Amino acid sequence: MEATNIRVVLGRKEILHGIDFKAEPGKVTAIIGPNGSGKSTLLKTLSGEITGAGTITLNGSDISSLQPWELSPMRGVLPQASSVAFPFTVLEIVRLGLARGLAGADEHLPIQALKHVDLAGFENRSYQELSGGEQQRVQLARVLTQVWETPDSSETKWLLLDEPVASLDIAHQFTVLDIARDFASRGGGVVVVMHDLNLTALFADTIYVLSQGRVWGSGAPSEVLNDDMMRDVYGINLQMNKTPPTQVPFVLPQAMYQNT
Amino acid sequence: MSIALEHDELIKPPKDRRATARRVTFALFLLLCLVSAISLSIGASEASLRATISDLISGREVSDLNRIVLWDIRLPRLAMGMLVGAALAVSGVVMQGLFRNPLADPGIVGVSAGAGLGAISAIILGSYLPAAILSVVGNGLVAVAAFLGGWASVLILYRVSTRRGQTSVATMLLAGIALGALSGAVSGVLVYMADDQQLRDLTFWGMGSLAGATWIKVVTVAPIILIAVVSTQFLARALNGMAMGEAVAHHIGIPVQRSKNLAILAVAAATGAAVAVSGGIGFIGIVVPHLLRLGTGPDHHRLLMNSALLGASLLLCADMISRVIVAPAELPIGIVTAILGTPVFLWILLRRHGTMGM
Repeated sequence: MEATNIRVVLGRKEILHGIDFKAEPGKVTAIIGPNGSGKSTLLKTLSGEITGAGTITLNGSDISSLQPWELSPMRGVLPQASSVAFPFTVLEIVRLGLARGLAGADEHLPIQALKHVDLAGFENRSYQELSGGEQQRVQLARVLTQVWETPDSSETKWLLLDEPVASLDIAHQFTVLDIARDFASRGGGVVVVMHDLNLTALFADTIYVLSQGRVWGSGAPSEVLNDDMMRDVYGINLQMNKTPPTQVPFVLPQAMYQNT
Repeated sequence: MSIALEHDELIKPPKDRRATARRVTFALFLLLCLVSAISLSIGASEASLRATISDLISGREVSDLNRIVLWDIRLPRLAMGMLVGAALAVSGVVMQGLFRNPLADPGIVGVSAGAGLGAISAIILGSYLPAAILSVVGNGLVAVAAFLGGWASVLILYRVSTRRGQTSVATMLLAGIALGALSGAVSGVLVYMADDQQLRDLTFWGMGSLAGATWIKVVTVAPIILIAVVSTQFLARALNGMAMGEAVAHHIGIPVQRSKNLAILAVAAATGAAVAVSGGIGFIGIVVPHLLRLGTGPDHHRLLMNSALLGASLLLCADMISRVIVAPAELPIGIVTAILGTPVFLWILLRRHGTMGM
């Protein structure tokens, strides 16, 4: 997946000022940055939901030339939050990931996907009555069903996740990020918008740091997660440390007050 | 590349509502047959369905009374009731799906307001038309004007709410309110000009009735309503997807703008035709889909078809009540659906309030 010189104007404001972005199959690529830096807008542009200037190629084709139904078998998109207007059951929501929707005959994929996100047995619960974190995992199961449906295809499958762990407890943050890692290790590509720098450092192969609609820097976690980034991008003086054996960067919020 | 996991065991799908929905389709079909038979056999006249059928089977000649009452009066009325009921119920489902709101109604796209204005104009200004035109259009003038009025308002609303190929349903809703107010005002001017007979005509038109059903009207609206109702069946997956918002619908591969175009076109055609021949009949479009969603869930694959069947049955029942309750006179059917529908509407509202904190 490659994007060149992406410019997006929403209303009268230019949100993205010429972004170059590249994500590779088999890798987890994270997008981080402060609120309003354009992370979600970039993800929406990559998914084809927003059209801007510049070109985005997915598995070799320009996405603006693809119809929605040609795009959907290649990539699944998990939005930040999804409200559902009618009392669908959990299984009905997950089955929407199937190309034939609820009329589809393929029964095992949705159930497998629910088990995968640790929601086995929730099939007939009403979606609207679940907690925010549970709803988020149901949506992830739907997205997985969508990309699993045509597994024989030689094309790379992509997952685009917008803050997938924002409303999850710490155990399920790992469940979801393990799914993303596992997906990448099977040859799929993952692009994920994240806020938590420590989880990003742990799970991402490549990080893009956005600041005010531009790429501040990109690279492996150990390259971009540093004190300069904290100061330039987030505007705080907080030191990046590294965990002893594996040298994974981490940041400890307590340090903010101990230093002063 | 193997993205999907191997399934570790044979997974048995849990029970879901699809099988129930299929059985409901069958039950609703039987219900419609039953209601149709009752509807044909009751009425102010002495005509008898049973005598007619036994006459037909044994080859005897059907009496004039039976032939006229059944063939020329009750049968077209039955056909029209089915078409109008199905059109209103299916339009309700589509509008609720599009606006993501169970209280949306075909009236929202401005069809009712526009059709009402068309009908009122025809009733009041029709007398000013040259006799030559009147003799050609005749009794159909009000229906034609209502249909055109309904269509005109949909086109205006659609135009107003579409920017760069994207239709905003929220803008459409608000513009619909504005257009409704405008056509209410113009209607007011016309009513001010009307004489007593015209006032009576338009009051009754507003209350809705199937009493004017003729084969000509049935044959005119049947193709429009049937094409619209059948084409909405192709919108099932799109409406399911749009329940999660237009972005998600796009993500799962639905051509969102094209689906919206089809939905609005179908609703305008079906409701426009229904309102043109039967006047203002409310609540069918809200009550029917809601009852079915309670029973078999919001999946549009069955909901659309089941709503058509239940809408047809419900309208025939309302029509029977309207014919029998003050026989030999008739109560306008819009009054019956409003009296039956208002409590259900309030119940939906309160129930939503309870569960979702609307």
